[in-house]
Amino acid sequence: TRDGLLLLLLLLLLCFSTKMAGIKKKKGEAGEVKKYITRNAAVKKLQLSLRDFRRICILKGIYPREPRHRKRVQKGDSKIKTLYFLKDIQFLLHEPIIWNFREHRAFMRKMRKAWSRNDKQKSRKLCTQKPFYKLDHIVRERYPTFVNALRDLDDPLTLCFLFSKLPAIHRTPLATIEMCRRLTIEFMHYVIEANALRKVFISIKGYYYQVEIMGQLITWIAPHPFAPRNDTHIDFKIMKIFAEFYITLLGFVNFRLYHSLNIHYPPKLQDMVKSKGKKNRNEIISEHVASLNAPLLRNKVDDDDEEDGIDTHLLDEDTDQLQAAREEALKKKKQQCLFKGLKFFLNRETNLESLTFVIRACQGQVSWDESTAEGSTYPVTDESITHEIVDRPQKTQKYLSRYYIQPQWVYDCINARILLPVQEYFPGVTLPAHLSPFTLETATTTALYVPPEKKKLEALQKGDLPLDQLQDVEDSEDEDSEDEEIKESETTVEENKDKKCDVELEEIEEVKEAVQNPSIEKMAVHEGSEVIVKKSEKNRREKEETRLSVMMIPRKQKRLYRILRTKERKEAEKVVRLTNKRKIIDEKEKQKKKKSRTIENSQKRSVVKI
Amino acid sequence: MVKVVEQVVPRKRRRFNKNKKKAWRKKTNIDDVEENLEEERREERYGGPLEERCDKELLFLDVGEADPKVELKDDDFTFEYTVDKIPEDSCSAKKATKVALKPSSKKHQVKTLKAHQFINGLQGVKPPHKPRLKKDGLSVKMKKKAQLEAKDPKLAKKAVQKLKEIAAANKKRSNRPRTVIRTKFEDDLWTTGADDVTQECNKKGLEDSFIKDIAKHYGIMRKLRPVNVPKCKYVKPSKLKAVRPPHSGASYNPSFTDHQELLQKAISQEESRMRKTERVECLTTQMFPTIDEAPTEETWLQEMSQGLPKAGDEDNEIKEEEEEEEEEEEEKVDNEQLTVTHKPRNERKTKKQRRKELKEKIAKLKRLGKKEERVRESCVFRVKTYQKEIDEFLELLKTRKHCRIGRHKQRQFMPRCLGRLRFHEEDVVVNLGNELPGSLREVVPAVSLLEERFKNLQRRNMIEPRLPHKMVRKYKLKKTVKRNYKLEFDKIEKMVDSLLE
Repeated sequence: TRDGLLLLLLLLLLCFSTKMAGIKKKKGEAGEVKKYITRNAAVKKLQLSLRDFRRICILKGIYPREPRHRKRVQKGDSKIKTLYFLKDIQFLLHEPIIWNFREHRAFMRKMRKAWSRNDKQKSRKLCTQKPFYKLDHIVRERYPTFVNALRDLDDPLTLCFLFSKLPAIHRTPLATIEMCRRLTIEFMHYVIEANALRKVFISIKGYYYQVEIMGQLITWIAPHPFAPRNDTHIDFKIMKIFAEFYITLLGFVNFRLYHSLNIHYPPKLQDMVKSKGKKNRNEIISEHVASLNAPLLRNKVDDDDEEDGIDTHLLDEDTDQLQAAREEALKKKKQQCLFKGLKFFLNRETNLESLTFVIRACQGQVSWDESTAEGSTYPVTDESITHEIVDRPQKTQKYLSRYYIQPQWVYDCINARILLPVQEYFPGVTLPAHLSPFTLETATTTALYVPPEKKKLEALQKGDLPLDQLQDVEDSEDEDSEDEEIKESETTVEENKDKKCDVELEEIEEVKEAVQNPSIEKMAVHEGSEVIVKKSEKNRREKEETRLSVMMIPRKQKRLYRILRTKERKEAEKVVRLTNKRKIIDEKEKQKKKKSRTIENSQKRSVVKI
Repeated sequence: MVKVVEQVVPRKRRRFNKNKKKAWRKKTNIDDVEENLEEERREERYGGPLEERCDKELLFLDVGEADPKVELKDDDFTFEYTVDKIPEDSCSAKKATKVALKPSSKKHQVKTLKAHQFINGLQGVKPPHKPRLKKDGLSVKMKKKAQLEAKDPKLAKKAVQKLKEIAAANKKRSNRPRTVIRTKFEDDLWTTGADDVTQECNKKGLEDSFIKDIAKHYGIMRKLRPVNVPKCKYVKPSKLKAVRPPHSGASYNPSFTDHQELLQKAISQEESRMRKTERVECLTTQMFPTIDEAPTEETWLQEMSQGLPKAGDEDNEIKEEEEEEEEEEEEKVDNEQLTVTHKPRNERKTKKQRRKELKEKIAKLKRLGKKEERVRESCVFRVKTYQKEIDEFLELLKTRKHCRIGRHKQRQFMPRCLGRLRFHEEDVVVNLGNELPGSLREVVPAVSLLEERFKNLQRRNMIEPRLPHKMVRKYKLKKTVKRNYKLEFDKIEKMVDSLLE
């Protein structure tokens, strides 16, 4: 027994010692290393070719990641490798599409064999069995809710708009391009029907559009028409894969959007189209749809408008915010029916697609010459046309009943959310600058100097300055108005002074009376008179107070205070300088005008005399 | 001289020892035995040796030429059917067309398999395969149906059904999408409760709160549960917007200030780039001389022999030598004057000295200890400063953390290092003053938008920047001239020659 006990003790000791030592930790088995996997390892794990791996990564939305400590993750190798999250790759393992990729590889092998043997029958038969895959479930997975999809729509829209304008060559299959074209047109139709357009901007890159759908702001770029194509630096295969996924996404989004407005999804036209010539009926219909100038067929339209979609329960406390939100909503509503009742006619040199889209999204009516494109609704001779959009120096203006304007007017109007005065946009006139509506929002413009043009625009937007008066003011009352204003201001100042003087005099008299006969009133309660402090006194006191408070500023912060003060002062000086400059320029222009007028008058007189 | 062989000597037959079993087995010639056996077997195959067979079996009565056509059985034929559209009514011809089967005019002979040809020659032998029930059986039935249909097409109900199936299959095949690009969108992807379980529950009028769990449970049981998406997948690789808001100077008709601002941006970008390239240039190519400036052997020799006496001026040489000699003499004189006065002593310390040293040492240690204690005690009065130091350190940590967070936030908007190549920012797109178009009609896009998009994808860390792959050929291609061309070339050459002559 004793020996047994000893043995037990020994065993225990052994166990204890091993426990004390613990399991040895090895390098590269825990921590950040386990989080990442290199691209090559991932490819090997998924049993795909590199090309297919790229494809599935793009389709599934899995991107390479940069680790915090590259050397640690790469097991001491500091060479830069492409890394992925291991979890992402494990997630990819479950993807059913991978099987399709493998099938496709086998299929291609068979095809190649048939081709090389020149076995046409077999290759034809194989073609019918070509494996393909669907992306629906991936769209659903990547965008669990519809709003998620809407939020991410910038990229798909831009790419689809780009692809829709590409020429069909062997690198870009026709099916992709046609589908992109169709989807973009459908989306634009939706924007037109929902009046969702908010901002437009023409840059040297392309046309920026911003729409608001279900509270989400979506921005995209559409290319200029007739852009030369030069894309030697891009990997077109990758772009095609992106396009493939985005087409599926955009299709489903369009379907849902159309159904939210009760419109037939593959869009149908409201009016029957007369078919002319040899063209197929379907073709003509698709062309009419593509012209964006025909209303779509709806099931039924709900007349009851939603009560301005502001979430009041969140803004209840802050009345200012609520007020601002209400104003914003009102402005939006105005913008939505900006061109209501206006009839536009587009000349053939303008960008038909963009202009029709923009004008119809604000409820205007558009037409063009029948020979330019399909889908024109009324001819040039229509007397009810209010605006004709012209983009080339034109000397003859046939109709007096309409304005001839440059296309920038339309875009500027939408950005300003009002109908701007037309005078500055006549053909041949140097246009005002086309400002970006996107930067106005981002940059908090707190500059003190506001140029008069901007002031005018703001006034117009507020509704202080009616549109009709503006022209008169500009034309005739240029010279007189300023003098009058000055006079008026002087008179008002004098009146104020008089009033003040009167009040002061009365007070003084009362006080005097009180001093003169103190004996009359003894120990009685009187109605107290208001103590009126002189303005100069008040000013002086205020100044004193500020001076004292400045003195109280600790020495550390005094420097900062001084800097701020100098900044303010400089800004004020700048404002004065700029306003003076502007005044001088304006006066010069006025004189020029005067001269030209006098010359004209003299010429007229001379003509009359003759 | 050539030797003429008159006679060929037959090769001598080799002899082997056959005394061992192994050798016996291997070396004995048994060809004749085998031949005989083969013969016997052949005869057996054809019904035994001729001697043993009766006359009837071997001979027959020739009556004359029999019918050369071999009568084919029904089993050897199949009817082919073609899908035919029959107008239902003559009056409403355009509208309704009925699809029906129609037997083709020709019978289609079923070819016998080559493998069976041998067996077919033998009497009473059936081919070894079992006829496939479906196909062959159908063909016979179909024939009957065809006969029926010839009388009255309405009678053959099953035939019509079969026909429908064929038509449906055809339609399905034609409807099968050729490409991955989807063209039809017929259902809402984001409807809730589209699966069959929830629909069933809804029909039965269950409460909504239950349905979700039920659907989930059934999904799990039928292995239809969606794969769990890792959380990191929803973290976007970059926080940049897909479409960046444009700079107002990039307008086709910009205001002066905006345009200047953008120009300034472009200029500063270009300047920084130039500075970088200049720096690289300075550190690489400018470090080394050009070929015409590079040192040759001659110049190298010249440089190396700089300061050495040349053969031309001997006077200088002599003078220098004299000076050197003088110096040496002076040094000699100095050395002689020096004498050794200090010798290293190596004496032992006395006990007294050692005692004294020890005492001093102890005293010193004591002193130092006291001092240390004093200092330590006085540290109590330095509490405030310590507190200050701690606070400062904490503050430092805080600012560092703040910076780190800031950097991290900023990095979320930056293009990261994802592959071998680095992302290069593209140029700021700007039109120069004279390039600005007068009207919208004359606008020429300044960049290829597709390229800009591609760069944008790279900037948002969705794809790693790559260079286009260059194809490298392992072997040179062989060049040959086609035969026809060669003939033509020869002709032309001849013509030229004749002309020259």
